[in-house]
Amino acid sequence: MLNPLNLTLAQASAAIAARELSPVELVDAALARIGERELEINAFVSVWEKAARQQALKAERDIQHGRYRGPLHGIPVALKDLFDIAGHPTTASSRVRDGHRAEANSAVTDALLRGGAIILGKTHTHEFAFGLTTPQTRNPLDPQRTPGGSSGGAAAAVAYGGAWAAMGTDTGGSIRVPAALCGLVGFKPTYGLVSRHGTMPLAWSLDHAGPMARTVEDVGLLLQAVMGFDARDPASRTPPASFDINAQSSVHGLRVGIPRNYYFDHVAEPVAAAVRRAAAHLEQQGAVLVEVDIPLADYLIPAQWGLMVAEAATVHAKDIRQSASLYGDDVRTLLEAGQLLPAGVYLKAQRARGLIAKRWCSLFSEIDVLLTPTVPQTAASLEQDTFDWEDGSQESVSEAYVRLCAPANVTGLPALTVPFGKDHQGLPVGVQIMGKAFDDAKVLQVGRAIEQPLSPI
Amino acid sequence: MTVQNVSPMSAEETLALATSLGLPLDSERAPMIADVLHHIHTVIARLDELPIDESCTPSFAFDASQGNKPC
Repeated sequence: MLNPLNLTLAQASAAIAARELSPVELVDAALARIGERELEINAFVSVWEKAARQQALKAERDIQHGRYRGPLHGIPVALKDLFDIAGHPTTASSRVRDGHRAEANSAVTDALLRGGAIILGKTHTHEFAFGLTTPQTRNPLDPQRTPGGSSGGAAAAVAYGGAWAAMGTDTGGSIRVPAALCGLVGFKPTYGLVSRHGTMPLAWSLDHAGPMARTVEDVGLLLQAVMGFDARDPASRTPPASFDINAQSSVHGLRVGIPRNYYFDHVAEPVAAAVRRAAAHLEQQGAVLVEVDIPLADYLIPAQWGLMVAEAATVHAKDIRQSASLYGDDVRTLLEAGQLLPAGVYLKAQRARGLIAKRWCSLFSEIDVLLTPTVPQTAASLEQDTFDWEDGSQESVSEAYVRLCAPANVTGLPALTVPFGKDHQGLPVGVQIMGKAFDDAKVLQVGRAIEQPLSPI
Repeated sequence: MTVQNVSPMSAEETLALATSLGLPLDSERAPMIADVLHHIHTVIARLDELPIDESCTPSFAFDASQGNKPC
């Protein structure tokens, strides 16, 4: 008998379309898995069992009567608890939000519901998405380790089979970091491709919404449903007419940039080795590897800090003055310090970002995509604060996890993480693919090529 | 261009700045906030090495024809 939990979203979707599988079976399987794992992992803020079963029955009937809505119809998904759902609280995993009720759906919620997806529940985030570990949630691959963050609950839920996909947000790696640490695919699209209307912000000019799932194909199906211009999000942009997320072509002749600097500094050897193997795998499929220098590498994190701390401080300016004691210590400290930053610091970071974006645009005239590690080290232990590097230096876990992801937030470029191999402890390693603005389809295309089984040498 | 020297603020200065900005900062938290603020300033000060005065527009342009639409 078909075990729905073994199917990818695309496979489950095809089985539903062929009426070989019912959305009811999918929801039952997901709820059973949630019952088995949730007590230990704590991925969900809330699970709507009754509503999910009702939606599944309705989807089953609609599909039987020929009212099939597309590849998400009847598929159980989860939402990071930053996306508004009318009538439900958007907690942002914070006591500051006690008593909140969303009046309307976020753009992402509406898009998923239009596609017929079943929203099973909402998942934990590092408080207000301001952190890279999601300390209240555990990694289902090893519960003594962090799932990463800030979309840690979303990643954990998909990784243990509580949903077939989830939507997260990413301001400095918050989709890609947990996806990498939990062995999933995670995609931060080009800035402006997915509307953030109705989504609790962390830092407006860096925030992106994007999908997490088990395969690149699955992530593409979710992206197809949620992308598109939305006048309610001032950053929203209409993609070029040639934009086709489903474009399928070979990577033959594609120029894959391999960084000489920055992306392999202070990176664990098994992680670096996985990226080298991924590069060889692409080369074997006809891609051309091109060594490149990362421009303005020393200024990427300073620019991200200048933007993120100042914007987050502004988002929380009222609440931190009225309810500081309700915030967790780490977030409270950053927000209080952020209140004291002068405006000139923020403008300096914005102007630096302009220069960085220009130089990165030139970089992408030499290459089609850039291949890098997603994070410098696999999942840290729950009690671990720092990583020790070979040169004797130490780096905080959070600073390490954000370091290789943040450049794509500063530049707004699309960035995908795909699991590729494991380290010596059996923990998954993520490789990151970045592309030009609105070249999201090409990034996904390279991701699919990386997923292809390795040919014997 | 050289990096501007970032001098740390004392706990008292941090508390005074917070008060002037309407931020009710607990006095026992002031030394920690001063340290974190100094760290943030130190990281961001790297940007002073960039030639942004010559190569970047001095401010964002507001498009009056777009009404109140930001950016």
